[in-house]
Amino acid sequence: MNNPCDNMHDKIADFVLGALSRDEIDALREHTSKCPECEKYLQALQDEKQLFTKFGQTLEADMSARQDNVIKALDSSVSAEQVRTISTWRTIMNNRITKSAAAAVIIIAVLIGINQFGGSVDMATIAFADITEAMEKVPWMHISSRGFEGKIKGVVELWIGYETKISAAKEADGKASFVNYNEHKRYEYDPQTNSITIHYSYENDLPLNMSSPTLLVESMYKMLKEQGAKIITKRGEYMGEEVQIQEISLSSIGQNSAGQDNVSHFVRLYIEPESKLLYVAKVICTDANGNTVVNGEMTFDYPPTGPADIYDLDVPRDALIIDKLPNEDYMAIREKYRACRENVPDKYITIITEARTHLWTCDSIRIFYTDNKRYRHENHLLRWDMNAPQPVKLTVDSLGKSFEALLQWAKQNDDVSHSVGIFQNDPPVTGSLEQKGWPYIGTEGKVIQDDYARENNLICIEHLQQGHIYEGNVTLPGRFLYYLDPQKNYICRKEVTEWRPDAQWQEDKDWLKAVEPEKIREGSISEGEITEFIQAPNGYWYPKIIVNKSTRSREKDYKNVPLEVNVIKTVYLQIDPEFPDDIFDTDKLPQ
Amino acid sequence: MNERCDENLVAAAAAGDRDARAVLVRRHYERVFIVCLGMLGSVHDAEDIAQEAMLKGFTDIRKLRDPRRFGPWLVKIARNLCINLIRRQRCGEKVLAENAQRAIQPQSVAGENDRLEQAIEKLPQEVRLPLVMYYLDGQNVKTVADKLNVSRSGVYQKLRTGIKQLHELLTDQGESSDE
Repeated sequence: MNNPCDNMHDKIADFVLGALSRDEIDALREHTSKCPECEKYLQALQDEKQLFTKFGQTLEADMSARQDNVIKALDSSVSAEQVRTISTWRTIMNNRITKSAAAAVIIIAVLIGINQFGGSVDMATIAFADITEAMEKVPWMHISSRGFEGKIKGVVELWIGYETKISAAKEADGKASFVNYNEHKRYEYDPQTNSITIHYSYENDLPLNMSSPTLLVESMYKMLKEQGAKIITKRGEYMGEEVQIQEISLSSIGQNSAGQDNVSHFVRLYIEPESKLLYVAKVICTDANGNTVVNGEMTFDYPPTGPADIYDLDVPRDALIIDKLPNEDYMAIREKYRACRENVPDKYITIITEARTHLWTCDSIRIFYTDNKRYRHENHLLRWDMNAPQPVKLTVDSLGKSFEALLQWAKQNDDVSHSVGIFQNDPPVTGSLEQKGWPYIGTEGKVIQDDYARENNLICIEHLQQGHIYEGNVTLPGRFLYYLDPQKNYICRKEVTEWRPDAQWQEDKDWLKAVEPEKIREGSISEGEITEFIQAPNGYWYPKIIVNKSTRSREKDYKNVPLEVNVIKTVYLQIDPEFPDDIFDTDKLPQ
Repeated sequence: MNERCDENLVAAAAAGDRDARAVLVRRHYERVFIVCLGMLGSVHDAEDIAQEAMLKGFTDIRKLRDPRRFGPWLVKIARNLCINLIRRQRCGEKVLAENAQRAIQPQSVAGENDRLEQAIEKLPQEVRLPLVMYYLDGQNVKTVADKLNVSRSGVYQKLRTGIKQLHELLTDQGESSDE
């Protein structure tokens, strides 16, 4: 217990916070040299500061493992392309921006644009109308837009090759992109650096519903009708040619930039009467005062061919090529790995116990039920046993070591903090089996050999990440290693994450020059290793025990510091179980 | 190079680019976790809620109007989730009682860090959050002030109160004076 002088509490606290001037520090030092109680108080606050800092370092050492968990959970939450397609469409339809800007026509541009420049939604173009079966047969569609300048920046020309599965776009500022979905390649040209970057493209097909224009149009019309749009079809003329005109008007939907309602959108589509192909779309948006905010036009044509490569988009031949494609060996392994990853059973229950070695974190039990459509995730935290003569930390080891015993315990025990989540159709949050055995590995990796891989007959995948600075915060260069076991359905036996301040792979060697030294953290290493396996009746190998270790704090000599065990996870698996009644019933969730 | 701005990364993540998503997680998770820890005081709860916030953020990423605000938006989601959890915990007397009990664990049972975490958990939230942010996020008052949208002098005041109260909780004074 400390009893410093009454008027010194704040002074000493300010000193610890580094908020005193030089003179004030001198005065404080003079006082504490004569006052043992204040000196003691100062020392105590300093020690507590140290303790807090150490606590922070310990937390930080586990940070990359926590991030890895989030990345894995995210990976499992976006699985089926179809689900993503539908939800994207629905989201865009419900988005206020799409209701308020250039209405329906722009939506389509956005949908196409999403895959052109990595998802940027600030681009304009194109419209569709009553596209018929003829539309399904067009090999290429080419769209160019004008009149959206200053309102919606972005693509001015766009090509879609339905048969070739190619999309290509040019932006007003000279940027261009070319995506070949068959080859999984995306080329992006940046005029500022005069460089073409080639990336791997995940998608197998044209984005969203663009692989079938009819589907897209149907969706668009449905949306327009739901919003009360008036659609009038009539005959008319455009540039002296007879055309079919569709006029779509929407009013009182969405808001303008000032937050006012009553924005009007008027879209006129000119359709060639014989082919039923759209060839012009005019978009006019007016605000509440009748002022025109958008007055744009898009023209469509249907050439027999389109751009063959990015150079056909006026990209200079001397542009520097930056190849970000993964190498072929790596991709072949990744494909096998992905196939194994997707081969987890459809119907299972896993119980994963997490024994944590740090005293200040509780052990926990996660239970995960799925039949591939419905998911239930329970997290049971084991707090302290207060009924014991001397309070003790509850541990998972004390609860039994069988699937049945643990399940029974979880059912009966309501003295612990627990949370339950049920998910319909949407993939799980955490706890799924594939995350435990087959963590997500990115596309920009390569196969390497090291001692651990050699000794254990494993394939080692290395993924390197550049360090970067964002809003003054430094993220160190990262190295991620995944050791896959081809003898055990490519299960990832070990994962290593290293953050290294002096990474050789950092391209910009001067990247930390302008950063204050105290903002630069020391390196750290964390790893998760499967030390025991289960072979299920289906012949597949699954993880049984996973040991997570890390450097306890970030120290200069972190490479030579032995890793300390943080968590030991034990996996109990039941394949094709009989699920308890109401297990997926959201009405039966605990209150 | 990974010098992709949040705006581009958010757009790419929304379109399904997993690498972009991973970069965003590495970039923003720590701050989200620290805010959760500051609000909840428990590492385990903070881990769960921070993860939930990240998942919710990426699920709803297309609802984000200004992609440049991705970081603050995630923090906002996390704060709302923390508030929900605190409300739920307040409803359960058991949890409250349990937390109170935990906070007075005899020193012989609890380790040094355990005592610290329990003391942190007992701090009033209005001083706990700035204190945790200060100590775990670079010890920079300006950063804390910016993130919490309060003046620097306001942050100093809270930090000063925080370290004094923490000292009381970590010494015998805390046990008799609290609650």
